[in-house]
Amino acid sequence: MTRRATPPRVADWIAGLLLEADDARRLLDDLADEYAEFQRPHRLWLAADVWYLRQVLTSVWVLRRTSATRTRGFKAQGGGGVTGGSMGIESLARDVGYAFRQLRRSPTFTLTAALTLALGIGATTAIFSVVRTVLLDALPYDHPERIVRAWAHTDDGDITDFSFRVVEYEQLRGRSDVFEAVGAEFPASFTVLIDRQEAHQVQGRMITGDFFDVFGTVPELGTMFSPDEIAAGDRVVAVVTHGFWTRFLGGDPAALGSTIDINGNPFTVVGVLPESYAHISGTDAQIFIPFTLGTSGWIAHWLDLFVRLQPGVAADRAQGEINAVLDAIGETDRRSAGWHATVEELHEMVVGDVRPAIWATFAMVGLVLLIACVNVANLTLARSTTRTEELSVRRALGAGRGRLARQLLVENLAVASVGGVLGLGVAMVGLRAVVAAAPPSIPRIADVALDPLVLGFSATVTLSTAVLFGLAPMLQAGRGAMHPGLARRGDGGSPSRGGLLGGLVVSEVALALMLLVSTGLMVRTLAELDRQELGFQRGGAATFRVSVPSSRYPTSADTHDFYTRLRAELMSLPGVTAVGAGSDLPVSGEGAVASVTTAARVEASVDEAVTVLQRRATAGFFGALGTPLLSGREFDGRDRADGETTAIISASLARTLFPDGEAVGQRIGWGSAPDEDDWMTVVGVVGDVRYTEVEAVPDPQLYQAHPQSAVRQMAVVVRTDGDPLAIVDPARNVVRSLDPLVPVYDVGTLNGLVDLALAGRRFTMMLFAVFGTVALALTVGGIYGVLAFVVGRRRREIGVRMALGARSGDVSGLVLGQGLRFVLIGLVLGGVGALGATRLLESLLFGVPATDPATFGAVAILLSLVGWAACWIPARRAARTDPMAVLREE
Amino acid sequence: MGKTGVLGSFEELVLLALLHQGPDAYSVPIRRELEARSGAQVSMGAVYATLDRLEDKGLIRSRSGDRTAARRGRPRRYYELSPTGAAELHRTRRIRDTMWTGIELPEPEGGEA
Repeated sequence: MTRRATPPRVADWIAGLLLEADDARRLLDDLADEYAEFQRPHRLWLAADVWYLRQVLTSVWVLRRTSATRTRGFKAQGGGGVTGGSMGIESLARDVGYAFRQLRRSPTFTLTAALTLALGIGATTAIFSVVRTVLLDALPYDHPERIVRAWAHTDDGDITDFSFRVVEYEQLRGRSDVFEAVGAEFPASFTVLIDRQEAHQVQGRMITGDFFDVFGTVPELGTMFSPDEIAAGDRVVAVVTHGFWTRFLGGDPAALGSTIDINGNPFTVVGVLPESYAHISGTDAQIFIPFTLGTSGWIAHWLDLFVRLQPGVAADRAQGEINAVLDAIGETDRRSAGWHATVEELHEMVVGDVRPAIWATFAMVGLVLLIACVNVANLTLARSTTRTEELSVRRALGAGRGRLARQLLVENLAVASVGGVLGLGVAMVGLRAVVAAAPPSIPRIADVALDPLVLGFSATVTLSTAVLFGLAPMLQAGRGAMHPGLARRGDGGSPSRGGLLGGLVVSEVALALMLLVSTGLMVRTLAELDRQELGFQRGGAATFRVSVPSSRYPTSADTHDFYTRLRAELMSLPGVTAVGAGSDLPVSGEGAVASVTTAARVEASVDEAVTVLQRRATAGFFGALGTPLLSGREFDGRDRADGETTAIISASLARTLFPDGEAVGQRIGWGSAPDEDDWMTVVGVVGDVRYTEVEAVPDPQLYQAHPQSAVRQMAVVVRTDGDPLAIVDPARNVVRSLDPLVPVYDVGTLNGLVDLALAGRRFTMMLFAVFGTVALALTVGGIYGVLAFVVGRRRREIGVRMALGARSGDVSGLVLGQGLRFVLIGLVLGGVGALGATRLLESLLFGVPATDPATFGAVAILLSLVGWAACWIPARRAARTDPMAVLREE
Repeated sequence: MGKTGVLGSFEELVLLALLHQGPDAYSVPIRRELEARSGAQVSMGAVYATLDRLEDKGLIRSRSGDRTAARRGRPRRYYELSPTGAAELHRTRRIRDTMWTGIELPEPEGGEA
């Protein structure tokens, strides 16, 4: 586990803000010394952080106080007169002192209120820092607002979010009046051979020479390859990331100009990117080589296009210009005809996918904060009633109403600030937990931290809570103070107060219902996704990728031979029940797309080809995946490179292409007008596999037999009758024994792939569940608190009733009825609110409507039950009232 | 030292911690010494405030150490007892011993001092 070596920045910032520069520096330097020692293996990072924060806070307190003493002493010696202004300050200081003394006197109240607020403030602060870093912060590139990503699509809408052709890229580069730089890339996976004995698979990109100009990235060492060098395509050069340089090249500046073995070819390292550089995809791209090295003959749509706009050029205009260029090319080149582009701002591209979930979570946490405020308002209200006497006395002694109001406001602020400080701790811990549990699909999640802006937000929230929860009691206090004579009786008869308390319960139940319904919908979404028919058996299969280098396996036959031997060896491992390899793994979202047609469609002049996911598979692949063979056969020894070209298609493709009959034995051709050798014969039909995502209904799939279309990088699936991960090491040894220079990478399980695909939603659901639970607990506490308070205040009335013959059942019924009435009103109002709120969740839901009656019903029942339980305890206490004891108190 | 005479008890503890550290006493080990021997949490700020006050009173002297790379190039401040400080400690101890003479206090429960 990696541990941060730096103390929490929040603490440094607090010290910087509150102390003289010299004091702050001395303190932080000293503490840094000790913090380093705290970072010993046997200590938890949390302990070190808490220690550090505590040291800073207490030291700031002591140092502030001593410097204040010094200043005051100096002033007194100066003998200056006391001005009106300082009088205000001093009385404020008295108020503050008085407030804290009051709070110390009722520790239960203070602790409960502060902890409740701390939960709300802490959770809100933690999620806000995620919002800020992930959604609001500018991307770490030069003028990122001028960078756009272009997406190609066909006019008929069959293909969207696609790539561009080399010729299109080249023409666009000419439009320098609109585009400052046009860059393109193509993802690639490289086998890097270190010291001729260690093979590593490293992700990278094949890029155009101006790719990094788009992002304003300059190498930290060496140079980038120039566009001209790229165009020439004869320089075998590479630019690597700082991480690659330190890991594989020893971080040695002399490594510039040296050669590394990439896919069996010697590449000269010409540049190292800065440490701060992060590839826009968020993936670990570490090697960049000129795209011309692999794509000289490419005419299809391969390149992912990024454009830096000239200053002042709007994204709309850029889109128009790109389309004008595409139209011009399309006039003479049919491969570009019918294609157009849309542009997307870079920030949108990076965070667009996660935005709804993060905002929804932020809204959830806002509800939790509101519930916390309601709870504290309720506590404060209860307390202010018991203090009526104190306030009346002060009023009688001449304190103005404004003065008393200020006193109460200061007390509320004191409670809130204690809550705020504790909340900071909650935020620190919560944030670490959130970052640790977050799926990698959330961009920049690792950078999330508490910083001055977040703290400012937190402070604002804290102040707002003080006003929010203080509002109602303050109104009450003013009124109570006007009737000093009544203060002693303290009967809760005032209808407005009853209404206020009821209002608190109602709003709490309503807010909790909204939160819990949202949580419930997310839980149902996950359950629905877990039930999806994925087209393969999740459990019991390990997966890993293997890449055989072209230098050692120059022909298709060599490549296929390797995989045939690998399969045979893996099959002989104990526990292994099936082995196969495919070009792509399920729910990984990657892979080639192609289009196909049939002789019948060509004859009927159906111009439109059918878009398919193009996959390659070895013998045994479907058995290993657990994908059912519906008719015909799997690939086997009969599918030879020199034999008849064969294909296996998915059930949906069979239905589309051969609606009237058996697909096996029929012929399929590539494109919409296949040439002579574009045809292949269907030998089998298998179930559809969800290749792109768990949620999506699969596109039809077409599999080519590996010997007839051998690719070097394949994903191997090994099904066992035991723990799939236990087979990984033996499998690795098998690969090594066949060829030590073939890397094994992306090791995992089919189950893990599905989990990864659902990680984002599961994470959101988990956060919802946590906040929902907190909300539920706060609400139960709130209802209980209000009713207990009401029962306490109606003790005399209850006593009298019982003395006059009411039975305990009547009394508890009375109390229960009052509580449950509030709960019911809350449920109705919350239901209406939830109908609106869950609409905002719609984009996060799957397989369950935002107004799902079952979820609404279940949550309503749950809240009624806990509401009933929370009312029942005070009701029972009321029923046990001894009328004689009460009457004797009079 | 003025007529008010007696050292504050925390001042006394800081002075003693400083002496335990020897010639290389500075804020960090002094604080740790105090914590280790008293078993209570001691804030760095309290140590500074006390060291500053003791220096103001002339009971200790300070000097800047060498610049070390570990502290972002900033020098440490080392403290040592001044002759006045030594005299004051002796006096405090004498007063205390005198005051304790003849007192028999029952051990607190649990035996913890």
